Amino acid sequence: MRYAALLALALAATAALAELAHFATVEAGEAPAVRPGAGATLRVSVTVAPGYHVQANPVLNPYLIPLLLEVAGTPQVRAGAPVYPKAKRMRLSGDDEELVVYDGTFTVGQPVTVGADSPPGEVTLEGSLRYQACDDHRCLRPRTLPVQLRLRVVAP
Amino acid sequence: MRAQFVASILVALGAWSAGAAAASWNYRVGEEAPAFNLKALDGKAVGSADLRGHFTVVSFMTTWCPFCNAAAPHLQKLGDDYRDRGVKVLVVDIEEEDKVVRKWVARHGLTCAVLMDRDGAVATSYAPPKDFIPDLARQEVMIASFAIVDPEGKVRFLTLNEKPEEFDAKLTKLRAQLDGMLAAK
Repeated sequence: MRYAALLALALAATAALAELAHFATVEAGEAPAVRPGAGATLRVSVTVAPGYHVQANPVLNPYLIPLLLEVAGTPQVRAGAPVYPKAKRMRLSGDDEELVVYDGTFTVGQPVTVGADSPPGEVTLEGSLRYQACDDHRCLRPRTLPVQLRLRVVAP
Repeated sequence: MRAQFVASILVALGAWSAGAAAASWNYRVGEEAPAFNLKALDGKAVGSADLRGHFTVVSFMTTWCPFCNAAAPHLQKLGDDYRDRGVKVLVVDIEEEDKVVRKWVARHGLTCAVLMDRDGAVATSYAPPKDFIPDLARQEVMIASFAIVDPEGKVRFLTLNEKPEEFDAKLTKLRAQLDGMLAAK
């Protein structure tokens, strides 16, 4: 009876995971060494599943959902506005408007500034990446991936 | 206990394979359109009973879907072109708030009824079974799909954009289907 219950739980968990299937992955760049009072740009590498593209940032149509990196600062490290790469332009068959999109692998820059009084050590910044993907015949609901970025505060 | 575990696996495998065998992308065609009762943007209640007596083009959309944005002007034109032949058009908006949809409708100049499927249940009821693109939620599968419901309330055409060539922003294929149905009436 216990095994049957465990199997049912495993099937339910699998079904739940299937609802959250992702079509992009993120990878944080190496943690740079940054002195107190200095700034750096952390890198988030995004890879879109083959055959898909994601809406860029900014978008041309205000109703579309742009790629959005949001990173929270800490008391020691201030996070600035992300820097998005240059987008590709495309047009759906029959559409009067162009789209701006990213596909393949691309990098979003996250500028940070380390406080002047920050002690040395590793700092982890928590964030998220929201994206809305389409392929050439279907559009998917927006999804959000967790992002973790690291840097090392080093002595001046 | 071991026998119960084996039996559970066999039951699960049986259910999975039965689901896989039942799927077809022509799901719903010829069947009664799933019943619904939704509130339109203008506040009126619109139900599946209101589809009786005329052909209806039902479009499942969201404001953020590029395919839906591409098709919207063509959907309005279709409504204008077929109005005199008694064809009605309606949009089922999936899981969005009135405020953003109202602005989007104004942007595209849509004059058809826009029904608010707030929890996606109606879109889900029109969707094929889970083994059709299992990675996606059912209401997600329905985004940018179109159905034609006949005067008797039966689904006569359902496009799910299964392949690239099925995406038809200008609704050319849908119009051809509609023309054939109207001619046969």
